[in-house]
Amino acid sequence: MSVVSFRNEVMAALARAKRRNQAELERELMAAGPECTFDSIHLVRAAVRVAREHGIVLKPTPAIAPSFKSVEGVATLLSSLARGQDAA
Amino acid sequence: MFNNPTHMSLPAPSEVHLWHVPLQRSAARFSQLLSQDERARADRRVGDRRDAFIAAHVSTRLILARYLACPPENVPLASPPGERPTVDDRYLSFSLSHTEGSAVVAVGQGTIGVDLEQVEAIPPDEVEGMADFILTSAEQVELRRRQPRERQTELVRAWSRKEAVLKACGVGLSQAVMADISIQRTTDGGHTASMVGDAQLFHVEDIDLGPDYVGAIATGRLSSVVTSLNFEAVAA
Repeated sequence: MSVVSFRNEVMAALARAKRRNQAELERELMAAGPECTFDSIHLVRAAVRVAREHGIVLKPTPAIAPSFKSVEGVATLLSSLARGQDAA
Repeated sequence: MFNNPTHMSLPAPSEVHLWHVPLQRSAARFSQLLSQDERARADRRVGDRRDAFIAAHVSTRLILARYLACPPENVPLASPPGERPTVDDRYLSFSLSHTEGSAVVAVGQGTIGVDLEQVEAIPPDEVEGMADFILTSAEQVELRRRQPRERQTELVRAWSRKEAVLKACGVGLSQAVMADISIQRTTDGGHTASMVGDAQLFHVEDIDLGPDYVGAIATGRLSSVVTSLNFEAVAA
């Protein structure tokens, strides 16, 4: 599954978690630039939820911490972990 | 012009002033008190989130101005994107956290971090998955021993304690792993926290703001006294 697909799922999970409209959330993310304006608890929730839905093992290690800087980072991490598990 | 006359003495080194700030949308009218950077950051948010950001940061300026005895717009705050806001002062330090409808500002000297979360931030059906990601193995065992109805609040409380420690360390979730932070209960009802591979110990104290919120303060001192204060001065 591609980074773009995971990004869409993370955004949908974020919108549900925050009870916000996904399009509005997208606009806010675009306006925010490099700054992550989401509460970190919601970004982690979205990552854990999407990982579970895809059977991805998301182990909390220092190596994955930098991915939690942005939605793109989380999507890239999930895509990479999914590919790794498929290959294994 | 703002009437903000009350001067506050700096908290003693072992003391933390914890200000509870109910966030009012009306405070967004006072955005002129913010710096250009803060206004730009506010404008990167929309609707209620923009108003809440402005209200929280205006309130923070008003609170810090009381200690520094200066107009709120002159409080020397640095607020770079993606980093914690800091005040350029030799003694004073602070930490801000805000969530829906409420904010807390902790003021003290030295290392300090505060966090505030809504209990519903982690719904009951996501507790198990989040616990695996947030807690140490021993903390996961302890959580499972609790009654199912208690687990949601306890997990969000654990998140809040660890987030407060990260803020005290000046780092975010992209630089550290919550499961590497171990929280231990002390005999006096407080908590200490330590990070894997780091000798530094933090004192962690829970914040009580009613049944809908959980929060925590972390300080580098192991015997901090927290004094709670209410801030309701954001009015015309």
